Amino acid sequence: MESPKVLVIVPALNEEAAIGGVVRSIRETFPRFPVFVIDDYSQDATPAVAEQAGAFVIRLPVHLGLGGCVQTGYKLAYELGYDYVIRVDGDGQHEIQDIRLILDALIATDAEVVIGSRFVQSTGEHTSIPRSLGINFFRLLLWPILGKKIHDPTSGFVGVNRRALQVFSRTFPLQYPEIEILVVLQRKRFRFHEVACRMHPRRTGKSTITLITSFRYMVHVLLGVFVNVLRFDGTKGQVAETTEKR
Amino acid sequence: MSIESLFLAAGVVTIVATLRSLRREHIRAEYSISWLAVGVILSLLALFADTISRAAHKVGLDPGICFAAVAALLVSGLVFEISHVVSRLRDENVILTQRLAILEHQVRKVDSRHGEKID
Repeated sequence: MESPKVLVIVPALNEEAAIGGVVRSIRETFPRFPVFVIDDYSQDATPAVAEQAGAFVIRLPVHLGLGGCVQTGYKLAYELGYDYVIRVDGDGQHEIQDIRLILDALIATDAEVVIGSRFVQSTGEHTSIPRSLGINFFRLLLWPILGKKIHDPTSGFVGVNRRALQVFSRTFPLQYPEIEILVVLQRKRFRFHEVACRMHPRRTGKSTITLITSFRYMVHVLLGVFVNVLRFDGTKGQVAETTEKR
Repeated sequence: MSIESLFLAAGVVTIVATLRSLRREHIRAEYSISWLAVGVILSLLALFADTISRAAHKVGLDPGICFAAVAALLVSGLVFEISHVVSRLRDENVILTQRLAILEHQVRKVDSRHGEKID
């Protein structure tokens, strides 16, 4: 049996200090998986460092936001015929070896999306109190919508299969995708699965999360969730290959 | 200055400004229609102010408030349309930006392969 085509994408914005280590780590651990760094118009040497470390680099000519950046990777992967895509953050917080856990879960469960969760077995939590409060709030909010509990709705360590790629390459939240895509998944009657993954503290740079961005995040995500709930139409999210390219 | 003259002046200024912008190609024809419509509506409100005032009295409304409500509705309609257009343009820009980035990557890949062959 032919082995599945797997691509690793790393969305990055001004991560010159961490991106090289992340890319090298992926290349050493999974030498057969191509690594694409999607650079969201960084103002530092992120693209050059990533390329030097062995990644292919897609440079967005303007800043699109995390969702637009991730979707670029999904579009590329879908067009190049990849079966699975694993998204890893560029700040070095995700344990690269856990990519295997996500991939195995994607194959074994046939779920459209597998989320690497910090909280399934409480492994390697490095989360601030405000962020923990936010995560708990969204857990409670999403529970009745998804019909099942989700441990880590804000995780950026995510694997998707080709069915999800087909949908996400056409429609994807542009700003803060993690929580909204869960509602999109539910709307499309797709399944998601969580696996316990390790998380490291941020080693370099600093988080862009401030009080104002947190407030904006909450409002934006709540609106996104609400809009997606309004869009529930009961249709399954699989569309013909011929109709989905724009 | 009466409310009628204010509406008439606003209507005429809107129509003239829109036509000027159209002539100078500062605004595209498809986006000028709403502005022209607003100008015409404001002018009609001014020209038929008496009729509108009588109608407002009949339903127990103050004519001034009635005029203000219509003006607010027109502004809201325009702002809503502009939001709609901006959102569509934003979506199209995202698609174009992503396509450009992917194509640029593919061109660089082809270029580097071509370079390798020459070497």
